Amino acid sequence: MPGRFRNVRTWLWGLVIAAVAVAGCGGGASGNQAGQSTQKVKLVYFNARAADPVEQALVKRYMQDHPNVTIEYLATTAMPGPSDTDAIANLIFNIQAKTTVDVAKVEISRTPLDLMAARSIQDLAQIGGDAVNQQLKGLLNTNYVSFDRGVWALPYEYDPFGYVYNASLFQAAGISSPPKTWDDMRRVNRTILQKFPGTWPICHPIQNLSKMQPYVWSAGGTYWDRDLLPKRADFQNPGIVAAYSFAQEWAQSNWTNTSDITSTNSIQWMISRKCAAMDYSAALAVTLRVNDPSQDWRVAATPVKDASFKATNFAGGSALVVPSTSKYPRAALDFILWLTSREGQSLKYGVDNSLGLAKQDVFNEATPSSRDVGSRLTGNPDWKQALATSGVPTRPSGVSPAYSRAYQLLADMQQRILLKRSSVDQELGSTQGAVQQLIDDSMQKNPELYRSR
Amino acid sequence: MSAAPAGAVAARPAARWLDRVGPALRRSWPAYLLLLPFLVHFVVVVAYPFLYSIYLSFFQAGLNEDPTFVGLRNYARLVNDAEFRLALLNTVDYTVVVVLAETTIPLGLALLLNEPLRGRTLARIALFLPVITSYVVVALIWSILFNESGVVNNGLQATHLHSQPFFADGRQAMAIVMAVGVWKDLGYYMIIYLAALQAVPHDLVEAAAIDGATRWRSIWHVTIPSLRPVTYFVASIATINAMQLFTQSYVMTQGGPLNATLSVVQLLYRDAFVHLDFGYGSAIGTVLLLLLVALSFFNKKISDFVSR
Repeated sequence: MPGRFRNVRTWLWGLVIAAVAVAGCGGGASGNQAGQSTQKVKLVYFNARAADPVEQALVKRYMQDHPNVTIEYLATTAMPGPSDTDAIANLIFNIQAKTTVDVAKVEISRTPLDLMAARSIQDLAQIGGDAVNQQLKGLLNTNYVSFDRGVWALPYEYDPFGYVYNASLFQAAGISSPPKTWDDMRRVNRTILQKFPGTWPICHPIQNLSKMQPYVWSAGGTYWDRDLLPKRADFQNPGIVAAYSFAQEWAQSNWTNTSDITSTNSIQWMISRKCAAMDYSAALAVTLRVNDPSQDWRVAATPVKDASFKATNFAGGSALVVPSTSKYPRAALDFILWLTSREGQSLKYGVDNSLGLAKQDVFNEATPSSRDVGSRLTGNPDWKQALATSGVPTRPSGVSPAYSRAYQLLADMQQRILLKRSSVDQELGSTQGAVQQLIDDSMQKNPELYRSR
Repeated sequence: MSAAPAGAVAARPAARWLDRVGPALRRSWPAYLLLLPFLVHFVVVVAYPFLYSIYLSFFQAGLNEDPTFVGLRNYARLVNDAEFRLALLNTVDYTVVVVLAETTIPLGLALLLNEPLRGRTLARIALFLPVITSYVVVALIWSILFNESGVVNNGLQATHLHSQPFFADGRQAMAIVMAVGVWKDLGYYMIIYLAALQAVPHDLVEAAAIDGATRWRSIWHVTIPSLRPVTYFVASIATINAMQLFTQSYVMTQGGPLNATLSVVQLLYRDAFVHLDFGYGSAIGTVLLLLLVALSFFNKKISDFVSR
């Protein structure tokens, strides 16, 4: 009997241990989620873009709504010039040093892929499954964040470019509408220069490749054999040659600036009437309106080569990633899903003004990545111009691990074409060779990344 | 004779070292305790990164990847890198002009402000203010002054002169970067000279005056030679600072136009933290270090030669 009893006791203990083990494992991801959503977590949110009060207000609201979550907000210093570069370098320092960062806001067009190739961020689809894919459907700029069978970031701010112009100044020069084609643009430039000799008809960020790309695309040109992870640089097609020759024509005709445009002087030059128009972020129009309401600041699509071409735009912005050093990836993703949700985006862009944000702060946020919130703002006179080019199709440009070096070479080339008036054909030819070498090196270094394309 | 255990053999030199150092440590432990925060900071923030950077320069190292030993390949790449040559040339140009200006102008100002002039305290404060102002702020102010629609160009236009492409012309841009460097550090070196002037023996100056030397001859033949060690110090510090040019060219010109103001440190930053090539960035840093050591040695030799 005692032997039998011992047997039963052993079985009972076995059952208890098995039950505890099953409860502890909790059936994988969902159990883990449940565990993390109730436990107290402290997230570190690293804003690797400009520091801003809106982000802090959102963090505060999230913590109020989620008492189990504490968020430490870290912002990088906003500097004029290559501030994104500073901020990303700062984030990289932290990741390299294995410092805990749970959520990071980064520049969207090249950073997610750069960080992914360096195994520094986590696949959000792996953490959150279908919720991530569902959220992605309602967002813009998604082609920058889904690659290599994963979702590496969620777009957070959408920043389409455009031809930002001073409609009051145009009107004073007798121009009633912005140029639609390059020939229109030539006429506009001549008229403005004649009427206002101290004003540049078109200001262009000399070292910024992204602002040149819409001209290339809108002339049927391209830089690469494919937009994501290109294998071949293609800098000698007729469209790209035409676009750079057109830009050189601006320089030769004294239509454009000679020193570079930064975030500080872009506003200064427009307000001081040094520039009549500028190839820039469409959101600049809103900032200009706040700073100088006496003028009518507007945005149009980048002019196309001729009426047979369709406008194609570049849209930058920011995205949210979960770095590899995150302690609470699931809770971090929950925060990201909230920030990119209709609720989070409505708060961020003042559709729901319960955060009590100042207009100027809200206007510094580019435009919503949420399609739904963006469409709600379209009718709002404050946002109308910033969203004026949001309907123009966009494409990414040659994003790959070689991109930052290739970008540098192309930016240097652009500068030589505009400032030194060097031969467009020669410049494009020699830069193509150098960039191809970078792509070849990148393919050799990251074969698995390219194999999936 | 039995062989001594290996541990005991190894322990012997350590024990001997402890015997030698131990009494000194016991005697002066409060001093070492007070030095400890500095030593910890020095080892963690200076010595370790410095040595690690030299070590890393022999590797190909990116973000989150195991460094691969490549021997001298990063240094060979440097030799063929046209951008590095240009950055080095720009940095040397900057250093020559700035060091000359920073060793002579502050000396002149110190001599002037050492005289019992009215308002000299105010002048000293005004000249020292840029030293305590952040470099980024100074660079931003200068870029606002000199940009194409800035204060200087508006002034030129108001007086019917042509506005200047200050940041579009490489030479003008570099001149402005140099001017910022000199203006910012002027007060610091002036204070050093002023302090040194207080130590110039009065009897020598008085003897020169009794012998009929004019004020100018007294300065040239008595005061300036007495300041030689300080001048050497100023030249050395100014050289080290100038070779590390970064903030003003980064904030004002981002190295442009056409890389005309690109410095070695800026290139290092770009390669290491933008292109994530830590090995190559470290090689640039190591070469810069060797250059600085060589320049300091050269400075010292010149100083010794002149002092003889």
